[in-house]
Amino acid sequence: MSPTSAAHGGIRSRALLPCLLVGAWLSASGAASAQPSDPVAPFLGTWSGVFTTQDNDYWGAEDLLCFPGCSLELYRNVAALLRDPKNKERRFNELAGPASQAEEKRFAAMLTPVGRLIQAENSPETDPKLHCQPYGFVREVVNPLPLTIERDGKNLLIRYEEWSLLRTIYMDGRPHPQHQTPTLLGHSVGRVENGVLIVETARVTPDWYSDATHAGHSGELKGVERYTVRDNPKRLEVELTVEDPVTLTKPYVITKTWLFTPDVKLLQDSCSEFPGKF
Amino acid sequence: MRARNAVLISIAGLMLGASAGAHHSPAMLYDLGKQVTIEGVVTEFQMGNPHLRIYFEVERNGVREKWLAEGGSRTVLMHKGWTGKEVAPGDKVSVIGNPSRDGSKLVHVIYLVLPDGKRLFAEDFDPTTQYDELRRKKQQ
Repeated sequence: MSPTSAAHGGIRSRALLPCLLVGAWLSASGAASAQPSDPVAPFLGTWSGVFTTQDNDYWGAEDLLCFPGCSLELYRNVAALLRDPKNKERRFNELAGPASQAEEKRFAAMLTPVGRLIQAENSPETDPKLHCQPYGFVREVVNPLPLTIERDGKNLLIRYEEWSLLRTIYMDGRPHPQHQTPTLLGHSVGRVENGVLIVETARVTPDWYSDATHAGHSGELKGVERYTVRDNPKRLEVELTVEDPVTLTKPYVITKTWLFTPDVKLLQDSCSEFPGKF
Repeated sequence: MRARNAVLISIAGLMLGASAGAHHSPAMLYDLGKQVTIEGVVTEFQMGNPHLRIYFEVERNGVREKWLAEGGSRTVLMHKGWTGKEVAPGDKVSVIGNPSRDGSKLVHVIYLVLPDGKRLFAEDFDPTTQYDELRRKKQQ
């Protein structure tokens, strides 16, 4: 069971107690769909996170907290605190605030000296987005706005509303090229194994300002995204494992969920149509 | 501007190690259990990505303090009818929102009260109430 499914599972399993059939439980608890003849098909379409679908009944407070993506550890901890009957009368902020602070400490302990230096230099004023510089790899992959996954021949194309960026996932078995110039979102190769879309990325340009990690990453980053489509409601979950020997001493795992929203059309992002410095 | 940069960089160092980045979760930076109202004069208004930002000056005991209010994101606010011309430098406004956790001059704006008294919801969601509302809904 995925982290986000586990977080929602307490409520769902209670609702299903009368159902004694294991098969029914597996289906309703959001287990991955059976492997279809076209393993890529379940992933196609437009998906929206909690940020733009707040009124959907699926979301819990832990999802709202993690709308820009957050560490698997934080998501699990907050979900567990919220489910604990002992905390029933406590306000969300009393639970999520200390959990967030603990996560900050845990993450700080994982940083290399360079990682710590970068984190210390970050501030609202140094956000590259203020100067219309698009997000780097980690920040874009778990950004709060909708995305569309579509076919491009044998490969997949991910369109992100955030920055209107386009990303090719090569599905034809090719390796990462040895001599490719690094790019913002790097070079990504993918495959579907047991219903999970696994995307491996390398050759990214550094991004010294990231939301999900509160620090940044170097060009040495290697990312592995594991996407799973689940039902009731149909949704896409990712676990992004980030390894970066320059900024991190160990892998860091980030999670995020999107709902299937076929009626949503991606907006054209823009960084210049408003007055001010953008 | 340089002074403000220095302040904000030091804030970032203290603020839970957080980057105060785009689309960050407000619970990481702000004390959502508290609400403050701060009056000041706008020096700069940015209706852009990642967030609405209002730089404003507050006079206290004869000293002018520089403050920054952060609100919702451009895309969501656009859907709510914001245009980016709601306020201009020189406007006297009230900012209602959550204070920073470390007491720095940073506020998470939930409502912006314009010079004519009009009150605008300035966030993508209301962290003061919406987390707990969601929680109650799930507990039912």
